[in-house]
Amino acid sequence: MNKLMILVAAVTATTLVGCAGTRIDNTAGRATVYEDARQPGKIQGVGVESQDIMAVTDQMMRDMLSNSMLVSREVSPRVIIDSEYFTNESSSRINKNMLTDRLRINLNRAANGRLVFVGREYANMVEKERELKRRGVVDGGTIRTTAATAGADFRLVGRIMSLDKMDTGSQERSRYHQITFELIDLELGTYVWSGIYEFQKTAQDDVVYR
Amino acid sequence: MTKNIKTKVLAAVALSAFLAGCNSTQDGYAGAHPVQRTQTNEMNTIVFIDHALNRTDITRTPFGDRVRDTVKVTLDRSGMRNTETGQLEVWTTIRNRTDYDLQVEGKAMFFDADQAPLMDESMWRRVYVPANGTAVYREMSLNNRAQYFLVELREGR
Repeated sequence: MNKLMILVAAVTATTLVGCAGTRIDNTAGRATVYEDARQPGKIQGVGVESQDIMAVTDQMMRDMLSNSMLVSREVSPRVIIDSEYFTNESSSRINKNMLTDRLRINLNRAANGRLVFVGREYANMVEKERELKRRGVVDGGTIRTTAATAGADFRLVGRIMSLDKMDTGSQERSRYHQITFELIDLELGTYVWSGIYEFQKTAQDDVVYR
Repeated sequence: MTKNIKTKVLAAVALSAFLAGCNSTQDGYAGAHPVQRTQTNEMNTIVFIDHALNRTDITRTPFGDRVRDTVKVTLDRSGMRNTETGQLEVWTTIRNRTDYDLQVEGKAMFFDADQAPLMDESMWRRVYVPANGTAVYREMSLNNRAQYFLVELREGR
């Protein structure tokens, strides 16, 4: 009799546990909202974020446009701005193209012909098309033909660097970023313009950057 | 007895009028609203859009307007000039009048000779102002078409 009661109790308990295990949390989540990318959003960490990318590129662009060695030449200089020689040596995960592309695009729009940008990143694409034209597979286009593609006068180089500190007691961490931008004269090898952007952030960092 | 009621009614009316007077501020706003909120932003001015930094409150009382200034930050000097490349440069020195380090963010908008917007709006630039110290905010337009500016300052977050 005693054994039977124990068996019934065990079966009942198993059934109840089984019922409890089928509960699924399907409550509504937080609705997606647009945020102003120019300022810190709801999720913030110590890494390079949208407001930093926008601020640094805006500051560098205005500084380059105020340099008379760059924008006041009789013939507009040709410039390469891409991420080929722009390296990320920091502990922050970031796509470097976000910085170089934004800088080039906004600079190209603002310079209005005072600087000419060479798309060296797409040189292979241009060479293929030129080859097709030269072989007569396609016609010569409507604009012009040139002996060669554009050589550049200046090229962007730079680095993203960081210095990390962590308080093991409070788990707070602090990251100092230093982002350098420089233009190299592609004949002489001299620096014709330099810019630097620095910032430091502290947080109890549990944000994951992807 | 009738005289006593009239006196009480008169006192109640006077009290409510007094309290209403205390409560009202400029331009119909009630409560704490700074003068800066209802002012028109003129061209070539630098304004605080964060009223905790610098504000003037005027409260109307039966004894006249009571003016109260809240000053954490002031602008000691400001100016504008054209750079060598023709850009319009605006600058101001920000003085921290507190015993704490402050961060101030500035943003400039530029307009052409007709005061039409050039769609040249800078990103927020952060300036670190040490306690009781001074720092400089400076911004440049993108081209030589800018003739007017408007700078907005707020506390950095």
